[in-house]
Amino acid sequence: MDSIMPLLHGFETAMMGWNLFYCLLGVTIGMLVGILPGLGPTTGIALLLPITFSMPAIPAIIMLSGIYYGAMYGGTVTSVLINTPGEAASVTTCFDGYPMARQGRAGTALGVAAIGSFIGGTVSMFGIVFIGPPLAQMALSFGPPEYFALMVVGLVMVVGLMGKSLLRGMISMLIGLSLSMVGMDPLTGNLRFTFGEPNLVEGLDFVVISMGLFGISEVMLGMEQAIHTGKLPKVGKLLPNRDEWIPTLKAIGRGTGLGFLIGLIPGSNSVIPAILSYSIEKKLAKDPSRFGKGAIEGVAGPETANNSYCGGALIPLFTIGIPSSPTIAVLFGAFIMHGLTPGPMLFQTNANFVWAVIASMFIGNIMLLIMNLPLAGIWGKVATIPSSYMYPGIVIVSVVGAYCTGGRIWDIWTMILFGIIGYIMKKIDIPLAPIVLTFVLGKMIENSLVQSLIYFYGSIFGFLDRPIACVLLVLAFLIFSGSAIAGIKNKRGILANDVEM
Amino acid sequence: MIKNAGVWAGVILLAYSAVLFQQSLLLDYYNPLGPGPGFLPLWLSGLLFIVSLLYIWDSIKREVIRLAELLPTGDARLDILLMLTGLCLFALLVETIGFVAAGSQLIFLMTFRKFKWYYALPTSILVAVLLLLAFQKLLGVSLPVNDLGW
Repeated sequence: MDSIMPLLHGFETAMMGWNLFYCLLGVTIGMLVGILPGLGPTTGIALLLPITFSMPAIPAIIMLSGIYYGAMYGGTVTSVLINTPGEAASVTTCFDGYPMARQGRAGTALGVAAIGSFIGGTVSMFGIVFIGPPLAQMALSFGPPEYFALMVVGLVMVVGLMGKSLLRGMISMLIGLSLSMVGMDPLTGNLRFTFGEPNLVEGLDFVVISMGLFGISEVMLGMEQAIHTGKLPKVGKLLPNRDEWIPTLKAIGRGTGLGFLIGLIPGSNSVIPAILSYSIEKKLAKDPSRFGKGAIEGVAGPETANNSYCGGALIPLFTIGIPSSPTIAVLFGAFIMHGLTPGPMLFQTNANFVWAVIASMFIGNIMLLIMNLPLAGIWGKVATIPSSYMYPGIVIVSVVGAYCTGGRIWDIWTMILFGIIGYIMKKIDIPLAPIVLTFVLGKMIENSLVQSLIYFYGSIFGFLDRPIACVLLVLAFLIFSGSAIAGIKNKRGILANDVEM
Repeated sequence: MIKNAGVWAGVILLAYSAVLFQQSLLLDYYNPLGPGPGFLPLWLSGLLFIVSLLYIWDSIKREVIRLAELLPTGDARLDILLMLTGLCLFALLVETIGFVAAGSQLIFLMTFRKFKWYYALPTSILVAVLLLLAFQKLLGVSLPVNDLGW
């Protein structure tokens, strides 16, 4: 209950004119990013990050967060209307959303998805409000060994769950970690891997790398995969029939819980709750054969789960300062850029900022509900704009963004290089997500490891004396072993997708 | 094997990890306080070296990706080449000819095959001018300009 008053103060800040405007701008861009296939929230946030350079921290993060959760709503529109997921988390919505649209029930699919997304998104925000502060308080007692172990679990989860194979995930993870070592060693001041190049002394820029890996490489891939949209189906009635309300609400309830819990796990992604929710709904249904032919629960559950996931995934960022996914990693970069350090101290040192951002997410979810229910048809028309028309815009904004990060032409070359690397990596099925996450976490991992070893007088077995760190490292080992065994038996299955979230 | 994209990628990774390993050896592995600046890089590059070898083996034995699948074909190849050319020209020229001219050429190279040149050219210039104004006047972010201020 201690969270209520700060939250109300947060609403006061979030409702101020410009903050409200940036919230609307963020969720609108998020909707667009979600609708346009091939453009995900990671790219969207990375592209717009440089625009926020001159903005104060609160409106900047309000806008960038809006892109994150707004994209989850947007992805539904293309899944239902043109059978093409706008972002990875909406893949499952195609299974039943598109058949519903073909039956003349596109409006109902979009309506149910919007209601579910709103409920899932809002409930998960309450999760942040009530779980965030006590978790942050608990995290204050964490020392370097616990942080190190927690980050190892997160990395192992990313490597273990994403991508086609553990081997490829490890390659990506090690590349990200090695890139984070470039520049001055923060503990000793020694230069590492700079090869005499002054531009490398401060290391590689996270925003530039993200724009290359996600922005430029996506454009290159998109140029190869032209998507042609046919005639849009009629949107029609938005609400479900009377007899469909109870199963729909039950699916929404299950999706909310599932999405939120999975969001708390470092290294997870929004596709996991969506797929799990779909399979749970199918298992619980009286007639599972309806699934794939327009079952309303098949839209309500996964759409709720992926929005609920968004709120849950922000908790590790706000409370322990560890990004759990690439999109959150870019948000993490935005925090740092604006002089804020995500972590347990954030609730104490920048309480007004944290609560204003959380409050803005409640407001943003209401905005998105309004945008999606009565305006679903208009967003559908946006989906028919060929992506190729957007590419010159994306590329020029990326170039400007890369230049703005340091005012150097060097950053543009770096972005081009990472664009080509990202394109090749996607072609050879090496996931990009671990690179971004490990790049962000690299210095933190090194610092916590070195500090732990100094504390343990150089003995690695010192971790065994710290119960939390020990349990987490054992957990990481089990996940890694499980993933390796699954890889050998070729059973990585449906979760083996490289996604941006 | 020469047409196997995975093998090529693995060899590049192997070379990358070898360079990092050699560079890590030049740094202190341990110092009086504890692990030195070379401690983690040495382990990482060593691990990457082993993983790269495993990846080459995997690319030969299990997941064969042909080099031809890696490269774009048809219209897409030209589109991608034009984009990369535009980007490189932008980076090379922007500090001399200014953002508007360099940005216009980039947008034009990406659009002239989809629209008639007399639509693509003015649109490219207009977008570049609008971006310059938006960043410099509205967002207060300075972009590289020529002696004439654009």
